Amino acid sequence: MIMELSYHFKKNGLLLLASMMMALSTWAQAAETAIRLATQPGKLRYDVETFAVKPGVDVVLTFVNNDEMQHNLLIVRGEEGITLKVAQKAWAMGPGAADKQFVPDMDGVVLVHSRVLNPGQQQTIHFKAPDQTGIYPYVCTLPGHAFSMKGNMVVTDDPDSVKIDKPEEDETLGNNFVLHPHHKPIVKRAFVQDGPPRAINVGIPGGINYCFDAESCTVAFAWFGPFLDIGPDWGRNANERGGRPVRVLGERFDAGQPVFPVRLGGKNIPSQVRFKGYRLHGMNAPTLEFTVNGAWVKETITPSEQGIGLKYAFEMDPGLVTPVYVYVDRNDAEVVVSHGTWEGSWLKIAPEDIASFSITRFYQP
Amino acid sequence: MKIPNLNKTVWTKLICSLFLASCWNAFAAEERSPSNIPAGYIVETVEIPEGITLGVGGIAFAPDGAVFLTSREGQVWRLQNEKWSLFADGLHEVLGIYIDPVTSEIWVMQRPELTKLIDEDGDGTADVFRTINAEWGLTDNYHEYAFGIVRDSSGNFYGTLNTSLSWVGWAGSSKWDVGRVHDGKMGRAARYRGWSFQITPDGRFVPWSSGMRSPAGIGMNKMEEIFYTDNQGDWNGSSTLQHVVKGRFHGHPSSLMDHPDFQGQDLNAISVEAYRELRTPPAVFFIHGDLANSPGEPVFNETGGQFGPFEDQIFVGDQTRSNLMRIYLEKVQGAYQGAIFNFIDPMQSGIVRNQFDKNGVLYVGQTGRGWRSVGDQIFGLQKVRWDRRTTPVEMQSIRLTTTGFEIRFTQPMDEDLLRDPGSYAIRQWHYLYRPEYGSPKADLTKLEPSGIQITHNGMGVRLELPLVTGKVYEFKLNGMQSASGSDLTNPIGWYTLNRLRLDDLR
Repeated sequence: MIMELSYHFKKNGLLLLASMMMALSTWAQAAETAIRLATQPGKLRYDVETFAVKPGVDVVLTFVNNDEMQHNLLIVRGEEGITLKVAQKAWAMGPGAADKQFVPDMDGVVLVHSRVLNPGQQQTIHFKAPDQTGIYPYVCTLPGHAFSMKGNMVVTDDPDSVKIDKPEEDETLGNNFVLHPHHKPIVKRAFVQDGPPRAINVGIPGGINYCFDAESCTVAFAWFGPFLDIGPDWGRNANERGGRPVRVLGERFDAGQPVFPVRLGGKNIPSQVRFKGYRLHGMNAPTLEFTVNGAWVKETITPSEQGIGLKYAFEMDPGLVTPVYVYVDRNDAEVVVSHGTWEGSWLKIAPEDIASFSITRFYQP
Repeated sequence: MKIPNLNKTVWTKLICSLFLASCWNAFAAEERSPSNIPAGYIVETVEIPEGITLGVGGIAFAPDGAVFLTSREGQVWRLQNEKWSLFADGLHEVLGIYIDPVTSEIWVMQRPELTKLIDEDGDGTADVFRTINAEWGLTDNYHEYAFGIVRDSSGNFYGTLNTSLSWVGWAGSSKWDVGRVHDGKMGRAARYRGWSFQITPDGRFVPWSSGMRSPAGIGMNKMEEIFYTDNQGDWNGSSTLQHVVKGRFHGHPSSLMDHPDFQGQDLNAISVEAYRELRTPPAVFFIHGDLANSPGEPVFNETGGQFGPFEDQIFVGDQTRSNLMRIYLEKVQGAYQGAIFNFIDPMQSGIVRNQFDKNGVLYVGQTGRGWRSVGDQIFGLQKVRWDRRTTPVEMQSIRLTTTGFEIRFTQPMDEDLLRDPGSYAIRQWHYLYRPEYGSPKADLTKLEPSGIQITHNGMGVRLELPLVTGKVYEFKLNGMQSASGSDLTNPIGWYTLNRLRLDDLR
C-alpha cells in the first residue's frame, strides 16, 4: 500500500478495506518503520528535519501538529528547490486550495501527503518507501511556510548511518522574540534590516508580510514565511540596549512600488504625501491612511489570491473630480486590476471609480 | 510644612494601611530596600506579572484612576485595581505619554512620531493609531531617541530629540558620521536632532530650543515652565537640568545645522569659546559619578503637601545608579539655578520616568536594560509615598544669599553642631565646556565659611562664602544632627551658581 492511503480511503469510505490490507501488509512483511514527526509551536519548523528509511519499507508516519496554526506535510521527489516550487504551486491554487489540502496537482512529484491539520490534530499515514535510494524532501505547503518548514527523508540501505536531525533550540529565535501572526495580523513598528526608519512591519496570517514606509507611504518590500525576530529591538538580555533593526525571517520579494504610487490629476503631477496613521480591524488586515496633496487615501493590503504577491485595495474620497494615476511595476510580475486603463506603468482610474479600486500584483510560481 | 486636613477616620485608615504596607515591605522585598531613604518615606514594589517585559518609557494617569505605562518595547499597558491589560502594542519605543485629564484622550511619543491612540470600538484596546506629527528626521541610528511629552494649557505638546551617535568608532558605520562639531561624539544624522520641539494643537512642528545632547526627560511645572535633563558626554561636562525657553541654545552645537541663523555656516569654524557665549548655562549640574550618571524625567512635586516638606521641588531618577534625587530651584536675576540632593538610593532598577498620582504617590518607572543599572531588576515599577506624619531629617534647600548661602533644614538642628565650622566640608569647582567627553572637577578648591549664623530657630544656617559664578558648590555636613539627635539621611548638597543675588533673601 502506498501513498495517501489513510486519507483517501477514509474519504472514499473504504476504511475497512484499508485496514484489512494494512493488516495483511504488516503480516506479510512484519517489518515496518515508524516515524513520528511534529510541528514546533510558534516556530514554523518541523521538529525532525532528517529521517532515514530503507528502500521499499512500509513506513508508518505519525504527523502531529503542536502549533497554533494549520500545517500539512508533503513528501516530494525532485531536484533541489523542488519544495519551494511545490509550495508556490500550492499558494497559487487560489480559493479552492483548502479543499484540496493545499496539495497541488503535480503528477509524479508528490509522493505522499497529510491533510491540513488543525492545531492539536494528528494523522497517521502509511506508505511504502520508494525503491530507489536518494533524498526525498518534505515540506508544508500552507502559504509562506515552505521557507522554514521543510526536511529530508533519506532512502538508504543503511538508515542507521544517517543522523536523525532534530534541530537544536535556536537561541536567537527564542519564542519570546519571534512574532507570529497566527490568528490575526500583527503590526510592529521598528527599525528593520535594510528598511526605512519609519517602518511599519505588518504580518498577515499565512506567512505573507510587508514593510510599509510611513515617510514615503510606499510598500518598501514584502516577504514570505515567518514574520519577525524582534530580539534586536527589545534587546535579548540585560546587556543589550535594543533599538536595533529587527530581523526579517522569511524571503523578501519586490512589492512593485519603487516610487510613491498615487498621483492626483495627472501622472506627472508631484505628490505631497503625509502619513496619517493606521487602523486595526481585528482578524482582518489593517488599513493604512495617508493624504496625497490633501486628499485622503485608505489602503488595505492583503495577500494575493492568485500567486505570490500583494493585493492593494484603495479607497478615496468619491467627491474628487480628478482621475487618479497609480504606478505599478509590471516587469516580471502579473497584475490584475479592478478598474482603470493602462498608460505604460501608470494605471488611470476614472473619477467615478476612485471610491474603491484594487490592484493585485503577483508572481506565478 | 503643609499637611492636608484629613478627618480622623481617614487618618486611622491611612495609618493602618501604612502599617500593613510597611510589614509587607519588610519581609517581601527586603533585598531590594534602599540603603538611603529619608524617614517617613516608604517604597513599594509593584509586581509585574510574569511574561510582561516593561522597560518603562512613560507613566500617565487616566481620569478614572488607571495607570498607563508605556515601554521601550513599544507597548502601552493599563493597570487598574491590580489588573494589567495591554492597551496598545507594536509601537516603536514609546518614551512618553500624555492623557487628557478631562477627556481621557491618549497621546504617545514614539521614536518616529507623536501618535494619538484611540479605542474606537470601546473594547479596551487601541484600534486607531493617528499620526499627529512626524516631521523630525530619523535614521536607524539607535541613539536617536524621542523623549516626551508634556502639554501646556493651550494644547501644545513639547518633547526632545536625541542627537545621533555619530562617531564612527562607536557607531560602527560611516553613514552617520555627519554633523559632528569639533569631533564631538554625538552629532546630527537627520534634521532637528538635538532640539526640543513644540507640536501645536493643529499638528504643526515648531523647533523650540537647540543644543541638546541626550535629553532623556522633560517636565513642566504649574507655571508651564519647561525643564529637561541632559546626559553627561561630549559638550556636557556633567549631566544637567536646563530650563527650556524658545530659541535657547543649551550647548551641544551639532543641532545648529538646523538653526536658521547658521545656514551655510561651517560649524567647525566657530570656536568653543563662541559656543560658550551662545549657550545658556544649565540651571543645575548633576554631579557625575558622585550622584548621577544619566538622569531621566524631572517631575515637580505639586501635590499640596502630600509628599512631605519638599513642595514644588523636582524629583528625578538616574538610569545608571537607580537613585532618586531632589532639586530645589530658585530664580536669581530672572534665571533658574539651585541645589540638588540625593533622596532614595538605590531603588531596584534604572530610573527614567516619575509621575505623581493625585494622592501624592510618586510612581517610579524603571529600565536597566543596556546600561547595567544598579539594582537586581532589569525593569520595574515602584511607588514612593510619604507617611504624612514623619518629618525627615534633610536639608530642605540651599539658597543663595548676597554673601554666601543659607541651608534650610526640614526640622530644627543641633545648634552646637550648626555653629561648629568643622560641621561643614565645602568644595567648589567647575565643569569644562568642551567637545571632549565629560569633564573632571576643574579648579577644585576647598572653602571655609568666614561666618556662620543660625536662622529660623535652628532650621537654617547662613554660611559666608566667596561667591564665584560658573561654579558648583558642594556642602558636606559631617556629623550634622537634628536637635533630637537624628543624622541627616543625605548629608551632601550641591548648588550650581550662575548668577549672583542683588538683593538678599527675604
